[in-house]
Amino acid sequence: MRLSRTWISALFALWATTDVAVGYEGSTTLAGVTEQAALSSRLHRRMVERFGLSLGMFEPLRLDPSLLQIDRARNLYVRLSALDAGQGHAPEVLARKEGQSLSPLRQHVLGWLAAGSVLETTPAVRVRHHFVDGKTGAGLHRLSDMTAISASAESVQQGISSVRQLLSGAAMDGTGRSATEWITASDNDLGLPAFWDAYERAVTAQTTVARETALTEALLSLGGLLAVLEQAGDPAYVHNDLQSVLSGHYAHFVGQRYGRAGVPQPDAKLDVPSPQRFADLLFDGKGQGLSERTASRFVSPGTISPSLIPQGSKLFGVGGYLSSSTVKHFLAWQKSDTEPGGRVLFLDERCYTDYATALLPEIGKFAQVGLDFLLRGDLRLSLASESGLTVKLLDEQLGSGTLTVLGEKASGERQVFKTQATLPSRPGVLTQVPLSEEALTDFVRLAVLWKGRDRNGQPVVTSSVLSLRKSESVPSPAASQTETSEPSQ
Amino acid sequence: MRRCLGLGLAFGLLSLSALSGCMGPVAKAPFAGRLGSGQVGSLLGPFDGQVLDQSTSSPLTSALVVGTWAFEEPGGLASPESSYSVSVVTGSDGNYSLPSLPAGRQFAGLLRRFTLVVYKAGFVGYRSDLRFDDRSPRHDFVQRGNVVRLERFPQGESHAKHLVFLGSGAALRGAAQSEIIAASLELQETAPQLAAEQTETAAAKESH
Repeated sequence: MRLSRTWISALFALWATTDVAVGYEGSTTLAGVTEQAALSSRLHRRMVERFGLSLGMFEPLRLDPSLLQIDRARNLYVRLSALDAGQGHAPEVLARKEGQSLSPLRQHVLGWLAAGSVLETTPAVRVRHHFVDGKTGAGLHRLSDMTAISASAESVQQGISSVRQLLSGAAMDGTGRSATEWITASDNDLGLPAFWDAYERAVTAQTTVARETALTEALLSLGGLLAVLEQAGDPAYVHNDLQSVLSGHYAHFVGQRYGRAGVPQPDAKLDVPSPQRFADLLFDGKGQGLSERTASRFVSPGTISPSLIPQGSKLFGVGGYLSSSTVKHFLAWQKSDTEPGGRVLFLDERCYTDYATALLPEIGKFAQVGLDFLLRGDLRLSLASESGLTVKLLDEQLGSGTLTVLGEKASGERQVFKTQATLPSRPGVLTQVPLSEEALTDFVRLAVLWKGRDRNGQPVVTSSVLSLRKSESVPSPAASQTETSEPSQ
Repeated sequence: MRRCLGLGLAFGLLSLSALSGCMGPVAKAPFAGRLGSGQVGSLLGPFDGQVLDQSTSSPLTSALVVGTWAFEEPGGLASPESSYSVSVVTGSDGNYSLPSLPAGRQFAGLLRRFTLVVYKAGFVGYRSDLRFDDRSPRHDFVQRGNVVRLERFPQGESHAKHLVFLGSGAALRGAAQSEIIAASLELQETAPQLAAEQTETAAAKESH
């Protein structure tokens, strides 16, 4: 009996059309916050300095699925093809060439980044790993009155897991890894390990298209990491409130009110210190992480309790609002004859408006700091006949690492010149690499990749390019090649 | 017996789903069918209207009009499933007309939204969901007989923010090439500097 009930429940779920969201909507809110954070960050200059992309954030980049492992290629292709072209982050489908089973995709840097934020919520079951308790840092966990079976059935009913997942035991069972673990998980295709790996290939891969493809992967990962961070600005995610995440009233309200393009800019006045680890932006145990800030000042529908009313305060009339030090409409209340205590507490649209007005600029600021942090360690290159290549470190104090110097031919092909270890360094000259002018005659550009750890022992991957043509304004590989896109869909 | 009944019902529902074609549910349109009519529009379309120069009220020729239908996963999740775009350019009368969503593109997912974007170089672009000036939700978009009034692009306005506002489909990117370059140059000036550049700028100011 239980089996058939689950079946019917699941099948009806396929037909359901209720407004359910999974935290902030990927296509609108998360993508919009990521875009605004990027505009306020150093991303544009870093794309110019590190990859020679003259249009910076607006440089078009190709992703060639034929260069990826087949499973990875299909998975990414399906998820990218699903994106809403009306929001601007769906890549353009280019004409296939011989030997390509999937069409190459093209999008500009900012578009790939925003697409990564949307991809982090697809498939929806990924959001089980976006929870981080603002008090303990723990991930999604079941409440005592919920079993794994009932949670799995509920997740199918809400459309967060599929019937197939339910039958194979892979449906969401009401638990998940903490967001701080998820961002470093090896099975997270948009996590930190994936980002570092893709970044390295974006500099060292032999061909232009392989480097572009790798850079798009790195940008997708960056967007995904930012999306996980941004979810920590949703009260439901930091209060272990799965029901509110699934009901999605707040998230849907924010999506409707701001869309993607109306998300406010990051709060420039908010001081968010650069973290020691990216995970610290989510939860640092000292109250400065976004999850802690959100949890300490905002509630979600599932965590409303009479204890939120300050002791000794009396509520007059038939209804109204409670204020907090952060928002005017913290909580709505109404007189009720049926509820214990004679009143019912809830969140309405005025509360949602105040919450979003306070939270979105703050989330944007955290995302901006996170983006700048992940791309820290700026290098600048200079070449002199007597000293060879000088690599100068601009911002971060770095630990030991490895520097790889590559030469790029006019055809775009890169080859490794040298690889050498570097010692810990403060901003200033990081190292000098002897290079004779004769050795560089066939090359139009130098690129370096530095891989190592920062002063806190955290992994860093960074790079820079130097044009060897006197008058060259660093041509952009993508812009210099024309391709026809497939006819309008 | 009960299990058989459950599975039978399940099979029946699946068959019904298959027989009913691929058309999934359609969300309620947030716009009216026509200006002034109380009738709610349809996300399926068709859509038509006219693009005018705000300052002169004269029709704008060769404005790019892109309509996009976005689908989400069935089951109500706000998780994208697919999208379909059609683009046209306005004629000498400034008129545009987009057909209904073709039957072959009516996916099984929930048709969640339709977005219209209008772009003409030198003008502030138009989105059917939001206004550019204050980024507030737009309430004057209608399905039929829509009037799009484009303002001249104000001097000093950010091209980068304008492009981000509009979003970038392939057609739009093709039409906005010069603005993309302008946005990039603008960011070279205005984007936050790298650490060394900040030091250099401060030193230059000090010596000045």
